[in-house]
Amino acid sequence: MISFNEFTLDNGLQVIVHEDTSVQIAVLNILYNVGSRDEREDKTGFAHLFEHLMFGGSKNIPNYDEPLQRVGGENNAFTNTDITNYYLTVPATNIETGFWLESDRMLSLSFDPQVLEVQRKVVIEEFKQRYLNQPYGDVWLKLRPLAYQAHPYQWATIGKEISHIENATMDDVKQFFFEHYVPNNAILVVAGNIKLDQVKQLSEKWFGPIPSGKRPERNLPVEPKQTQKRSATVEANVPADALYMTWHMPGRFHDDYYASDLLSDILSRGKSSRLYNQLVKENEIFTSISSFVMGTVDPGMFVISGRVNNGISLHKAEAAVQEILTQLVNEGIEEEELVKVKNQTLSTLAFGEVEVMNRAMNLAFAKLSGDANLVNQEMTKIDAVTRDEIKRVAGYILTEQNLSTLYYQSTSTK
Amino acid sequence: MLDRTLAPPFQKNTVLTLLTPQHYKSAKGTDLFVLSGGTQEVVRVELIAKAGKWYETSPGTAHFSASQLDKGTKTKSSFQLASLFDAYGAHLDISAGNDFFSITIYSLSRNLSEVLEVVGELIHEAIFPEQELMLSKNIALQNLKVNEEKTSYLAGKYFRKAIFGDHPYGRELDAHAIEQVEREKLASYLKSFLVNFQVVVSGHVNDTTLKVLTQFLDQLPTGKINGKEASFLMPVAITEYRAKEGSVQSTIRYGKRIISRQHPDFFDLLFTTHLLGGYFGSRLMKNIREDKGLTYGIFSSVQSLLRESYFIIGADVNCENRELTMLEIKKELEKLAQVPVSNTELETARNHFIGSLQSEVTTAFAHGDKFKIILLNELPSDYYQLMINRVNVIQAEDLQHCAAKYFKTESFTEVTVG
Repeated sequence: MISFNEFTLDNGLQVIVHEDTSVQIAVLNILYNVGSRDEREDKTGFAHLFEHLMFGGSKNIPNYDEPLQRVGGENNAFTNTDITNYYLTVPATNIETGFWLESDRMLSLSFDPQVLEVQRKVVIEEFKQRYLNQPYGDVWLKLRPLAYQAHPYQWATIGKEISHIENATMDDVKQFFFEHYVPNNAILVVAGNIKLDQVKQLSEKWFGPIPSGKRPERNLPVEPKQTQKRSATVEANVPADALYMTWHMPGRFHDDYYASDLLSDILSRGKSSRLYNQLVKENEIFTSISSFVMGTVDPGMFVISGRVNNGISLHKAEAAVQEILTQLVNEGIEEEELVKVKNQTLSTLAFGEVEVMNRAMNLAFAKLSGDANLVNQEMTKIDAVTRDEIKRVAGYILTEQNLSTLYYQSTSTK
Repeated sequence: MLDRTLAPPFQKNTVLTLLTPQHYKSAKGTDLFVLSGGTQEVVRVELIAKAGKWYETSPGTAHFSASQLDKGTKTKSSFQLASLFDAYGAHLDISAGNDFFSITIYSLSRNLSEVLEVVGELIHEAIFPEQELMLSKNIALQNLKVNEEKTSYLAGKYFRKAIFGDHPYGRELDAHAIEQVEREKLASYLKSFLVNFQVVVSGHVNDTTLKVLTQFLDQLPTGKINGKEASFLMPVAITEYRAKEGSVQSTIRYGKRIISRQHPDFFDLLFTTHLLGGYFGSRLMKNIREDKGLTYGIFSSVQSLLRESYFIIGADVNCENRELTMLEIKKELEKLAQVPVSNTELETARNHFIGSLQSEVTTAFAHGDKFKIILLNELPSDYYQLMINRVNVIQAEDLQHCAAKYFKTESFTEVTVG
């Protein structure tokens, strides 16, 4: 149970406060409701590039990091398809420094051209380090456009290609900032060794004067229902073949999300799971296999991926997966399996709430759904999932016409 | 009117309050340390034995003893064992590092008794089935091939080999070693070295959990370790570049063997390393990333193992920027010794060092991690407070002195791959 209070400033900034006096620190998490799904298809990778620019100085403060480090603080940020999230930790007595820094960069950035030039290079190196210079590193750059044909989830958050990052201009930066980095598009969570009244006062003081902005209506293309199986083959110099299968599934805040999530656990969580036990251990078709759901706000991806054992063809491997899925779709699951994955999930939730920063992030993300108390309802919702529901969601997600398969073919085993 | 150009006042706090563990000892002499805290009803139990790579007589024995420990007992198959842990929502992590073999159990407090019963069975009745070992070896061989496609993996491996030579710390499993692993050796390794566990528990511990733990303690094997300690020849500093076809970036690993935690200069070294490349505002990050945009990230750190430590700088850069980056790294190392650090930079690095140490210990698990370092390295119980006290008074000339003494670039080993 995560206790919290919330209020909204006149400018629309939503604030959540979670007190925990057992820690010496305070954390401040600010979620902006903007991600790579809000990008134009000819300017991808921009939300993430922008996250880098947020550290390059704001209107009244030339450098973001230095003053925070000076008061013993730490910070970081991440961008995904749906959100851009900034977080910091400070000794609790110095929380005001966090308010000062975060509010100034919400007010306005410095828009220093030198910062754009350097961060453009840094992000290109990040692109190479994480997506190009790793075996199988480019898989998401290939799998997403196969699964999505209309919706912006078709490109990865890092961007479709390096040239989009190379071509970003300062005008793009400014437009993006004034459109998305406004108080009425943000959720602020302050947690740790702080008091509600203190947070109210500091929020009014630092964020209160920032004018709210005009929010263009989010009007994203809806992904049309897939009607037949898609596939593509990639050839690369990797040591082993790998298989990536993805199906469309409901979004994070849909009623069926929890059943879908448990379904993926039944398939591959732990060494007693179906896919691991049958395909890695018993039949030695794969050397590793996993299934997981992308908890995206818009309808997401249900993924099964694995590296294939030497001497097994990708088509044989895919057929072996299909056989297990067909059995599950037709016959459903055992009660014992359901109890198991619920216990695993309960355990993950409990461990996930140990760290105060995680609690703050969970609150912010839950608030994005409209109700921060979702963090406290998750376990009940998971507990309520039945075998029938799992069979039902498996039945409509794991179909052939809803499937996109990427055959990642090693040039050495060809 | 609010003046946003002025930073709010701040307070400096140099106290680090660590949880004091409760200590219990079983009749047979096994130590149990409990760090209780947190409201979530979860617990982490770590069984740590002095074993690891250090004591193995053939490469891979420690690693596979760990990976095979839960693959079958006298009465249960690997599937049955996995089903039990999964059904309780427990997570088991068994690993053999350089110096220690550890079994870590993550469990809901209320299921701990049942989970530990199975763990006890692993320790006493693991049988290392041949079939399971074959499967794991095959998987390990494929994983190795994938890792060998990563410049970061290769650079790390060659770097440790260069600074530690044939010492266990320099040894990395290769395909030949994996193929040679035999189940008999695993069983005998288990018998020889999985004795004298130290048990560190952190998380939500109440009287019931405590009782479960003390009962479990009585079942743990005790005995004398029958292993001879490894020795090694001191390798010399080298510079090595290995091309890797198809790479778009080079991985740099640059460093040397260095003083350990017990050395009087150690805190100075840690802090100098922090200022150089230990945080976002460090010199290397500012110069190589924020000024020149050559890399996504660059770091320097001190890696302390039980018997040795090493200093390392690492980054991934565009292949054509490799030499420029190396040049800048060397400049930064020399500058540290030659030019005194400014007051502002010193204060920022100091406060950040102390603040981030304080921020690390927000959970019982983090307290457990700090305590483990103190316990396993036989350090004084106020080790981290002593560290903070030293960093709080360190002066510019101390950093110069430290850099001059430890960062002479002619003593460094340079490995780049890609």
